[in-house]
Amino acid sequence: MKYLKYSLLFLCITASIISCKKSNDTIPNNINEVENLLLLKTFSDNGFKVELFNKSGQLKVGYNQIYIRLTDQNGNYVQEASLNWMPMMTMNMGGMIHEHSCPFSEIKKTQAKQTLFEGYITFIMASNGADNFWNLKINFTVNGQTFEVTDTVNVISTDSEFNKAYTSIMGNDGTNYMLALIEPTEPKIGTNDIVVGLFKMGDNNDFPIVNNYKIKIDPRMPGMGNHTAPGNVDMTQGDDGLYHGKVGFSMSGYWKINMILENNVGTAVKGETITELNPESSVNFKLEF
Amino acid sequence: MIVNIQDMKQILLILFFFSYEISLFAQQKKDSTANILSDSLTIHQLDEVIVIGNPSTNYLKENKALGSLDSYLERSKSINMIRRGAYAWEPMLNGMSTERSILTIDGMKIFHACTDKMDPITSYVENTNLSLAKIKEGQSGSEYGGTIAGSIDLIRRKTGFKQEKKLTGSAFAGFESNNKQQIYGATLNYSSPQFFTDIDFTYRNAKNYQSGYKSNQSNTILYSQFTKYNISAITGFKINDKQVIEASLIYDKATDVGYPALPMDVSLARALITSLQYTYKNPLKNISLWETKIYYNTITHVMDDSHRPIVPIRMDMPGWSKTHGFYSTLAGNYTIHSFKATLSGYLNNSLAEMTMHPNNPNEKDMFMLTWPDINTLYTGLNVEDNISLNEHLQLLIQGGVGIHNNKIESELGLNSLRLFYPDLTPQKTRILKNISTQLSYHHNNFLYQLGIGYGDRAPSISEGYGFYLLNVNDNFDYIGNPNLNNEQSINVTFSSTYNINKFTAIAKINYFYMIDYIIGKPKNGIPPMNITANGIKIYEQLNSASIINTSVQFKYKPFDYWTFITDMSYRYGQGAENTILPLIQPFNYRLEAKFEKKSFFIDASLNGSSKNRNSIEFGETQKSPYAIANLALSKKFNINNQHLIVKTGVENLFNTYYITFDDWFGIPSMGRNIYVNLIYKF
Ligand SMILES: [Cu+2]
Ligand SMILES: [Cu+2]
Repeated sequence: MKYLKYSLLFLCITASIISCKKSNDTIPNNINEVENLLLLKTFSDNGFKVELFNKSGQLKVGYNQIYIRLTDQNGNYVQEASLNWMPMMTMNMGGMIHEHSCPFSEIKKTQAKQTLFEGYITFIMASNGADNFWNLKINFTVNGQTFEVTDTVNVISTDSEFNKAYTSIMGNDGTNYMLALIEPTEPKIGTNDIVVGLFKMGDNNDFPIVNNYKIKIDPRMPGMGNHTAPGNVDMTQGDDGLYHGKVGFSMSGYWKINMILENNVGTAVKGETITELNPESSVNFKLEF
Repeated sequence: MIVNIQDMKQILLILFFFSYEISLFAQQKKDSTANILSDSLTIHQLDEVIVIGNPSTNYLKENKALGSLDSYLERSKSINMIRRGAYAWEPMLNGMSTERSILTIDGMKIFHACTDKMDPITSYVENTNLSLAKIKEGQSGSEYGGTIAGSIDLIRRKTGFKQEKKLTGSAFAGFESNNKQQIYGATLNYSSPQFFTDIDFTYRNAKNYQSGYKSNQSNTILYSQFTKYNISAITGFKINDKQVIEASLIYDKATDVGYPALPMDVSLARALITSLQYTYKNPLKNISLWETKIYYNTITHVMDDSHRPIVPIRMDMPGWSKTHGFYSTLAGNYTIHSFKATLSGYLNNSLAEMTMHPNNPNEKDMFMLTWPDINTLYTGLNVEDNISLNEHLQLLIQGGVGIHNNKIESELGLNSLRLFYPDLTPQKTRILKNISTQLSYHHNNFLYQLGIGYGDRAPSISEGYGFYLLNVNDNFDYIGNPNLNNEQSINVTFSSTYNINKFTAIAKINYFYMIDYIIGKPKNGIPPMNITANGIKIYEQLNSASIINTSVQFKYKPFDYWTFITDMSYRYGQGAENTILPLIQPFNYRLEAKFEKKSFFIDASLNGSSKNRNSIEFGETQKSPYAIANLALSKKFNINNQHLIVKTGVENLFNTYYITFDDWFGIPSMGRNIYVNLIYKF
């Protein structure tokens, strides 16, 4: 009995020493900060490794929050670097090659993380076979040296009967607007924060954020007499450039979030009020939970 | 006590609406231990007692012995029954629905599990389970918690301890022509000096009922069928001469219950009601009784619209209610005082959900909580003292205080309600208080009684926390309001009774002045959820509302065997902001003649109503005046120690088509109904 006791104690001590040693060995560089993320893609160049992560492990049409981790030639995670990227879609339309990009952000260091960088891309179309594909080019500068990687990324469509997180519309001001639903990612019964990215097709094949607009919301349940719910707050632009508001869901199920887009002087540029005769707005998202 | 018991009985005698049943009641008193309290019962001179017929007591004088409990309660001038079909009527006391009164079974709190009030607790018992219904008016009914309208306590039937060991029982069968209702059941009672037990079983099955005749209209009321099983047992054990332990159980199950006045039916309504009671007689000098009970009951209510051919969307709306509780009562006498103190408490959990099945089969079901898994914890102390000032004058003073706490247990439920009340916290505590006094003056052939009370109540679960509850009468979705204040009431009752040998007259009036009266008011700007609803109503509070209840009754026995009874009642309800209160009984009357000789009994009656003062705001239409004639016959055969009672009768003799003010959604009442009851006793 006594023997057992001592041997257990010994085991414990050994275990703690080993574990201690292990953590001492780990230089801060190689801490794992992607625990809750899934790998999307790995690019390599000159011994550098560029890994892309996000929560779902998939890139989809609409808003994609993406995390990037750089590994140097020695296998250490890079903590200081500057990165930028350029998504570009190539479309072969009957022999005519057409290229376009999509709305995307700059890449910044992720707050409170040592080895992660982040940004978002709002894909506006899905990859489709060999003729319609997305290339993602990433430039990064480490210790004054600049590298470039490019590869294809697969973007899937998420539109379905009861899901739609991205919509592009032609405003009555002649501008092409894009709206991407960012939050709620986990909708619940009650009042939810809603965040939407609002972009437009710029003059130079760019997709700038639209400033100082207002997005009015009216959530409806088409499967149940098109009823709405209380608790909604129209979306206005926040410091992050995105549009923030509140959306109320009185029950779980399929909801259509109808919207009206108003410009900076309060004129509706797209979207209609819901009435008995007009059950939906031409600007809408769909979700089901 | 200065007033001798004989005298008191005399007073009681004239108070009961069916005073000829006093002997029966007295009999019951002697037999049962619970009614040791009956001495203190005499305190409540404003109380009304309804004897509920069952095979162990005397059936002869009941018109329709095997009628539902509802039909017994309906006889009280203080009670109206809201009918949503042929089953589970909701008792309204003094013109107020169940959230304003306290309904108990032997002092046990039970809370219904249906958000549409399909299952008042009276629907979970049978006549065979019960012996009496004790009705108290206004704040005098606050023994087990805060009330506005008063209380109805249903008293369990029990044979009690008897000097000689004896096994008795009965078997009964009934048939009613109108809805082809079949009633079968049996009771078995064993008593001995140390031990007693009563077991009973009742089964009812009814098809759709028929309304009275109206040209060009089908008189079959679809979805009014029901099936009910009820089984109950109560047993007592005498530890010694002073101490008794009793256990009681009621299991009630209704299946396939239709509600023609509602868009949904019930596939299952089930209750299990259990209790354990300890009684100590004369534990101390001046203390005549100490009674303590612990209890538990659980109710399951499964409501859906699967039988309705056309609905905008299919829905399931099950609900559950569980209550743990206790009370402990001490009763005693000291000089001219006769006092009683009751400490009681309960913890109730109420949960109701709604699942909606979209017409598109690919679409996910929709789901919400209509009651947010809410706990109600109540603890209260109530004391009363009945002072016999002199031979003519009695004063009753009664008061109580309680702590009432609501807590939303479900995060989902809390988030749902926060759509309307963003700052809602899960808990809310209220202090409830009540005080009342009654003065009785008895002289010669007159008895005058004056009662004054003040009290308040907490909002019901639906009023406080309901989420999109459709009321088909006014066609609004109702949303609870957790920020409601307590509803308060000041209540004055006056009654006067005159009695000489052959003639009795009773006149009674009571007036309720309510402050912060809780009622649903339309809220513009918030659209409804239910497809057919007109809009949203949120429970709000009127500064004030008043209800007046009046009744008179005359009873005359001009010759042997004959009794003539006339009674009339009228209620009036008006709130601030020009609100006509809903479900207020118009002028109502009953004329009755009885002939009773030995084992033969005949009864003819006519009852009717004037048109109602309908509340358009609450979707009420004006109902035409009506009069209904009824006839009943019964005969008892005795063979040695066995009895056979045969009863037959016809209700709504002329098959009159009529709708009462409390027929929910304006569904017509039952047409002509011929019934036969057979009761065999040994
Ligand atoms: Cu819905
Ligand atoms: Cu129900």
